[in-house]
Amino acid sequence: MEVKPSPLAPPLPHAWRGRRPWAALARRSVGPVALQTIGFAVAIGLWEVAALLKPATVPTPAAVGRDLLDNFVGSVYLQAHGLGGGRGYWYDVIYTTRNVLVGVGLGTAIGVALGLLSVPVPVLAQVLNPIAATFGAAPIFVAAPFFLVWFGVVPTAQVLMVAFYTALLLYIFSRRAADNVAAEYLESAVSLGAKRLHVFRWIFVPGTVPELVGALRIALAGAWGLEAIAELLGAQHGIGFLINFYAEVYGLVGMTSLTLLLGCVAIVCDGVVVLASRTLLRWTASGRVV
Amino acid sequence: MNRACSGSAVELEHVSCYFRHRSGELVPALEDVSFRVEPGQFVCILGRSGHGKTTLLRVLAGLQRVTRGRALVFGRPIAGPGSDRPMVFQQDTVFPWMHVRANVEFALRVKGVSKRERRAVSDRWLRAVGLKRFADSWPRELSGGMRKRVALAAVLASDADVWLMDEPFGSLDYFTRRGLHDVLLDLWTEAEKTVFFVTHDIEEALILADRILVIRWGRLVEDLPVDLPRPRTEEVRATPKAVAVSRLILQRLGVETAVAEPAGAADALEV
Repeated sequence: MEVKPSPLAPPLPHAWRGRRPWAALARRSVGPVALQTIGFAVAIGLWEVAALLKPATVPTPAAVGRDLLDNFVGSVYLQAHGLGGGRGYWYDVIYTTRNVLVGVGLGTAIGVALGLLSVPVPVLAQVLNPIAATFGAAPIFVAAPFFLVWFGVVPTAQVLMVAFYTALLLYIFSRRAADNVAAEYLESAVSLGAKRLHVFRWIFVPGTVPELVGALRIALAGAWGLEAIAELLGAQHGIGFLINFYAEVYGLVGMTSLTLLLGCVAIVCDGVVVLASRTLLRWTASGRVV
Repeated sequence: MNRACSGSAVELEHVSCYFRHRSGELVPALEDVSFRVEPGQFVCILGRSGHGKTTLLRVLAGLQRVTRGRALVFGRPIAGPGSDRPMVFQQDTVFPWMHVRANVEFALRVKGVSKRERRAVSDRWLRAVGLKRFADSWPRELSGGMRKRVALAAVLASDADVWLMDEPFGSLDYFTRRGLHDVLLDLWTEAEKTVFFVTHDIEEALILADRILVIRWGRLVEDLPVDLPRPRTEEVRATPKAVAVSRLILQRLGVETAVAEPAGAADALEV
């Protein structure tokens, strides 16, 4: 016997989709892409309007595009100013990216290791917590001049600064993530015979990954700014260094091009982290970063 | 451990457990509890919420220290948690970051059992709980009842002689719970292990138990053998003997029984 739906019942989702297939299609894939494209177009439009209204201080998108085409692979302009040896922006993009990735990698390894180890070794937490609290409260940018004084105008200073910031952040986050691992999981594991090392390896490490991925993304986002600041203060290469150079010669187009490049590289790196985390977090409900 | 090596599977001698309240006052969770359980018995620990059932089970699991008295498993004092007394918790404790099979193999993995051996054992117990085809699933892909079966299989795979269960089916619906009772009883009959099962549901205790320990305000107020034929169907649970057991439990728990006693119920119980 066929059961007729009540006239008071709301329409079924599939029936609704059947009547408006474009809506379903939009929701599935085209929707987000279209919205993102619209958002991007609106931003470009606003930028164009701002450039028209303030041509002396805001370069047009076209000028920035031309600058990137002219200077990305090789730059006569920079060479004429004794910079880069004819190499274009790409060299400085790689320089900055390398420093950020090495610094974030190093800082993550140190921060996560110390954060998770401080759970089974409470003495470690007692030593590290006041240090983390002190440096966590102070703005990290204040530390930038110290690194330059201690290590000089070399990539090591920038890498160490990024590593220090990342380690601090990841330490705090991994402590919190470890505290958030449900006590029932720990008790269940020990009742099944797990010893301290097993609990660390099979409960704490995987159980904290979702929060740590989030922390890594925050650290990475901040690291680009930190690296650029360090380069602005004193470096011989890098996007921050070039932005500083363009600022001195009032090169608004170059400044804007390099800022955009920095943003693009940061987005690509964040995307790589998100993609990698999907594999790590495929056990979560969404398989995405939480 | 071979349970043939000792007389009692579990023995508690005058066990008391006190917790310190924020006010500084000592609050008794268990008070002078003593009993002895033979190997292979299915024991239900019954009582109201907050009266010490879970504390008693946690003492047996080694997750809770005793303030006074002694707790022994196969003659050895309980010094801490151990794979000889795995526990199924009330909460969902199946590790969500491990596949179903890895969850079942967890106890074997920490013991250092080879992968081949682990696989054979997990295959056996996954089949026993009816989840063989979900071996490679993530726990999030299973229902609450299926996850409880994974937790059961993990305990079974550990090959422990004592299984501890803290209201494991409390969060499940009636029908799923009844299905899991059958699964648990089948596995218990096959494995012949000693089971401690915490519940506040008299019907559940009547379905499962060989013996019911009634706890009230931290004290063991009744130690009741349940001499009813198995399976404990609706008919069995409606017999005068079963009703008398229920009435006695209610009385021990301080609940007045308003329902008239069936004829012969008073004589049916010899305790």
